Amino acid sequence: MKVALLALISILSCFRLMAQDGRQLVVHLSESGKPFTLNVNISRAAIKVTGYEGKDVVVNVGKDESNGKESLDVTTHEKNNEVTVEGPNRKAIKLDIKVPKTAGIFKLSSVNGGTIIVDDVTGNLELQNKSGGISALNISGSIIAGTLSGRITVSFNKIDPGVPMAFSTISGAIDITFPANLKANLKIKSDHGKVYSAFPVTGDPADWLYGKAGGGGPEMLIKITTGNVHIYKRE
Amino acid sequence: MKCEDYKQWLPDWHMGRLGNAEKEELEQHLNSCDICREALAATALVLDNISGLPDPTPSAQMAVNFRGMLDDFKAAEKQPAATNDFWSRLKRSWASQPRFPLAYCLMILLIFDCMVYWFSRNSEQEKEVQELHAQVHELKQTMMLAMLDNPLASERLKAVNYTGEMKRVDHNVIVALLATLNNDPNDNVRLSTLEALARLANNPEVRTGLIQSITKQDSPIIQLAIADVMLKLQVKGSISAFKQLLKQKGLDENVRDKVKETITKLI
Repeated sequence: MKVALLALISILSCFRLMAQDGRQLVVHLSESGKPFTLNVNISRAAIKVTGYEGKDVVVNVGKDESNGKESLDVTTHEKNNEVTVEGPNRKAIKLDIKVPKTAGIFKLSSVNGGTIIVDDVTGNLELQNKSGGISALNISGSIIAGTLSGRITVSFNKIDPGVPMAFSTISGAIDITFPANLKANLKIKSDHGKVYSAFPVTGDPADWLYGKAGGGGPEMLIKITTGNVHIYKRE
Repeated sequence: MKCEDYKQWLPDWHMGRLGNAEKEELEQHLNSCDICREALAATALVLDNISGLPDPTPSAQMAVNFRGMLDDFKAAEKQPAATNDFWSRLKRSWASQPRFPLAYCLMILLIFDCMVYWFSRNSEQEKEVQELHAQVHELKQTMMLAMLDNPLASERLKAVNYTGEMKRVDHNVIVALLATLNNDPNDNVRLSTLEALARLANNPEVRTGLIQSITKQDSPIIQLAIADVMLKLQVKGSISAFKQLLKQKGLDENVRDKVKETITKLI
């Protein structure tokens, strides 16, 4: 009953905000303070997600650059703490989303909307781009990030122990900053580029390089076709 | 000397068998010692009475008895002597031997029993351990197969990485991995699956699956990686699939170059 009421309030508040100015959508989580999920899969969206000290998911929709008007066709819905943001497929939009700092699952995917940016969040991140970079900084948790053309820049405050990760791009660069106490099996390959790693890796540079950081752990797969790989240690 | 010592000489003195010196000494003592004189008188009386006794003559019956006894003894002695030939010695040796061999036999039997018990126990334990291993393996497989359907890409990645720890990978796992390689929505999960399958490329089912997968991949990153794997494993059977891939419209330029290079190197 409580959940249904909260859901109703959240839906109503969304409509109210949309009706007001169409720029900010506030989504109340039905179980505030508990792990939530954020799904964004909009092909031409420039997605930015930032952690903030609040309980709601707040979606700021940027102006349509082609005509300077508000993008009214972005909608959100929430069910059991799972928030989905939907939008137009052919129009370029900008989404600036604020999320609580409680742990969450972030599934963000774009095709050619620009760089996917995530900052200061906790949880499990799945970031998929095609023509555009990925930047995820100050993350506590785990990341699986892939793009075809673009740079991947990632830095961790803390990582989820035991969770494998993967980073891949065809052209660009991959820069990852892991905590110094990383425990992982590194598996890195750059077809036409160099690998610089603060954690020791060995192997044939023409093939995969392997390293056991902190005695080993889950696999961290890092693959780039054209470009360099930099693995840093956060001291 | 004391009277006791002189008393020992008394019988010899009476029978006149004592040496002159002792005889004189004793006689001097007897002159002075009443007790010893009385003892001499008593000894002389006993000795005189004994020597006066008549010798008993053996009765006529005695000889007969003695002969009978002797014959019985001879007869008793004759029997063992008669069994002293080869066969009886063999028989005896046969009969006397078993005590030790029997002990050996019992010991061997005991050891054998122990061994049988030990081995049967060991094989039981081994069987149990094997069963346990099989159960763990099955459990891991079940868990892995379930995890491959997880909505979280990191869980699916975990499942794929599990296969690297598996000592043997059976049909179900290969089918599941190939399905993941062809259908997983996440590029990185497919990339990791390709690497996992490349490790299992000795399996003909895996090789066939990898070749079939070439034309099913739409992500350039997987297409490039699969070309690398085929080149590394020198899978010449993949050439026709790559040629087919080249015919695909909208193929990424990087991929096109890589595939052409792969075909040239494989031929």
